[in-house]
Amino acid sequence: MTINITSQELERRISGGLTEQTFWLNMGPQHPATHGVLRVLLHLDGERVVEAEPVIGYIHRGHERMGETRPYAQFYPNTSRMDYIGAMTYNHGYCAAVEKMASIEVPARAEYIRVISSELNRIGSHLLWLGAYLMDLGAFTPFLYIWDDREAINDILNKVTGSRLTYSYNRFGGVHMDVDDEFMAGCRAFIKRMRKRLKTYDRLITGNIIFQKRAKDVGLISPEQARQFGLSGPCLRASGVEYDIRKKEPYSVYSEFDFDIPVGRQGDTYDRYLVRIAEMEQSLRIIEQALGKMPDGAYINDKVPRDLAPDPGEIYFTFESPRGEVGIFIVSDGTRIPYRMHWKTPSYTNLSILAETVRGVLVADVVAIMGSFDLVIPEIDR
Amino acid sequence: MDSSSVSKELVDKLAPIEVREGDYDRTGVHLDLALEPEKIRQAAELLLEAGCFLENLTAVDHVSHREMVYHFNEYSQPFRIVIRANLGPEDEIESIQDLCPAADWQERECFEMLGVKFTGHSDLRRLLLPEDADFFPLRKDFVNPPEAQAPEYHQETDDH
Amino acid sequence: MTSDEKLVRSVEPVVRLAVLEDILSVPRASSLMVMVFGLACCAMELMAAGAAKFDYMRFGGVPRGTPRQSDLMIVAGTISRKMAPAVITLWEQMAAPKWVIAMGNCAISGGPFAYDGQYAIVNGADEIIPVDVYIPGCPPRPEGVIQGFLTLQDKITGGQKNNVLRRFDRVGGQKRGFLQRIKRIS
Repeated sequence: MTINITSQELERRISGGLTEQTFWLNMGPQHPATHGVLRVLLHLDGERVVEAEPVIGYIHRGHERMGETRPYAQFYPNTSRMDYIGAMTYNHGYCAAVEKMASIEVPARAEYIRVISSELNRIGSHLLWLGAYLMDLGAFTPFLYIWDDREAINDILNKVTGSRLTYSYNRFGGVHMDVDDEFMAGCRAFIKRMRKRLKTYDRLITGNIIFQKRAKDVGLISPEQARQFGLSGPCLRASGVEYDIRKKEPYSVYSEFDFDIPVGRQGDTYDRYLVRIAEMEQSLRIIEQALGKMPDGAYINDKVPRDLAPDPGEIYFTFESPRGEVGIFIVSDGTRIPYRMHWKTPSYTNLSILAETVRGVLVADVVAIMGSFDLVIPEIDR
Repeated sequence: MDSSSVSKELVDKLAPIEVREGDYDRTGVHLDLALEPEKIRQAAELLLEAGCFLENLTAVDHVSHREMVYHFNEYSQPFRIVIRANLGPEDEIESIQDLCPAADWQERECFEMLGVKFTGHSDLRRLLLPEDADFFPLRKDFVNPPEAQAPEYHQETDDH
Repeated sequence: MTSDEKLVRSVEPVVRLAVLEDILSVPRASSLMVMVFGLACCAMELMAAGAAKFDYMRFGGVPRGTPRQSDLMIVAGTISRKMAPAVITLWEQMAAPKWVIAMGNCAISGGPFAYDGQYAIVNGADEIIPVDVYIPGCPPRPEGVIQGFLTLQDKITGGQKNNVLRRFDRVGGQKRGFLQRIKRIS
């Protein structure tokens, strides 16, 4: 449709006052920067955001209903698929929750193996976040570098679990297979390699002026806001609150290791980046200590009944996934099928603060802020 | 803030129906209060003012009634408090969305999965299911809706 | 015939428009523009297949962000009922000739989430859009993704036996290629 405007008409329109309008932009379910099927409705005034509303549910698969219709062990593979990047931590947490509920003993060797594999998964998850986040900001190099490191982790875990992504390695009462010397040697070599690589990433990214301009003082979240929105994980720690389930409510054998909790100062995206890099180093420390202290013995408790039916009651179990605090709420009525299972996942609460944080920022900053929350959408939608 | 003083204060102010010192090793909570539905908002206010944060807000469908469950925790020391209230099939409960923004989405999800209505919530609509869904999946009497018609695609040519 | 050849045979189009299509199909197959459409877990393996160790880009697949610039949509992940209209819209926005690969068990048939009483997902991408190649796995290994990609290239060109340019059968393995012929002679 072409508009033919005479010069007199143009005069009339300009002298009458040009008006401006805000508009709604749909950052759709399919978008390279939303890391999954998330839709963000942006109300824009030019380049500035007036209001943003995330719309979720595009990957809702009904995990909670599946939890109510199948036995505990049959629900177990679902846990890998809820947060597929931190799948080992979810497996670990779910098994630990059911074991706590049913009072199942886990041998020490199995606990150490679980900690090592969970921490390897944590490093892999933070690496993937790093690559994807920097790709959002426009840097393609770290994305390919991190896949190299993730393949190294996958090589170690693949040999012992059989899978690259959805591990399902734990079992109620231990782990599925024992680890051998090849695994231990591979982990030690990986620690050495990863320490060098972290220095490379540091040189490549941390001091980079473009990254600093895009990440510093962007998306500030105060500790009070973090508390009110129920944030957890690196987002919370970057705002200055020292809260990590592995230290505050230790599960498995985390109380036996010596590691620090990195805490940020301002709560901007740069702090969230620094916290995650520091957490990778702390995970390497945990793995090193665990390899040194690994006890001999059984890797699984044989006496766990095949059809587990915990006593009636409920449990709320929390564990620390790479994204933050995951809460599992299980209500048992004494049968082999749970009565109610509810998962409170960290990306769910981390995303809810998006609307608050992006008021008045530029559209490009929306991508930077959303990326720094490290969202995994199937975890939100369950 | 001392956990035993918080518990005493809560018990005094709220006069709960039932108090249970939680068995942390089996259930993961330190203090378990069962309240009337009208007192939930007051309890949430007290806990949030004392520096706790809302960890979880959900509901369980026991067929004769619905049980609302709220978990609170605090940062400085592990002290998990669960407050619960029983609602009849048609009852509503007051929303705590204005006290605690974390409750916003969790209440919406409770509504769409179980049908619990929250009065005072500014925007109680579907969160995870499509906007026009008219069933509540996590109710115990939920029967799978009849096979939905898969949407059709339009194609101009069959050329591959 | 090997089973791979049987597979390629069984999905050929019925009517072949002779030499022109044979000639055009080779550049089409060798430069597929892939739409980045990762829905769930399979997206991770798709990304791994694009990264340095496995690298489907060396077979000509270039990831694009928008359906308007793509010929190939790899549906990687579960399609939920809320997402289904968006998938159809994206498929319709692609210009013909276009192809779809269903990657992972969820895109083939609903995968681990299909059960009696599932209210939230579509049991497979082929319920809503036409699919050309299926890659099973949960998630499939990146090598599987590459095999699916090469199978699609075979489907597009028709393979060595059918295409007038006698291009190689990617999935069946190269038969009597140039270097092998030289080795045999010398």
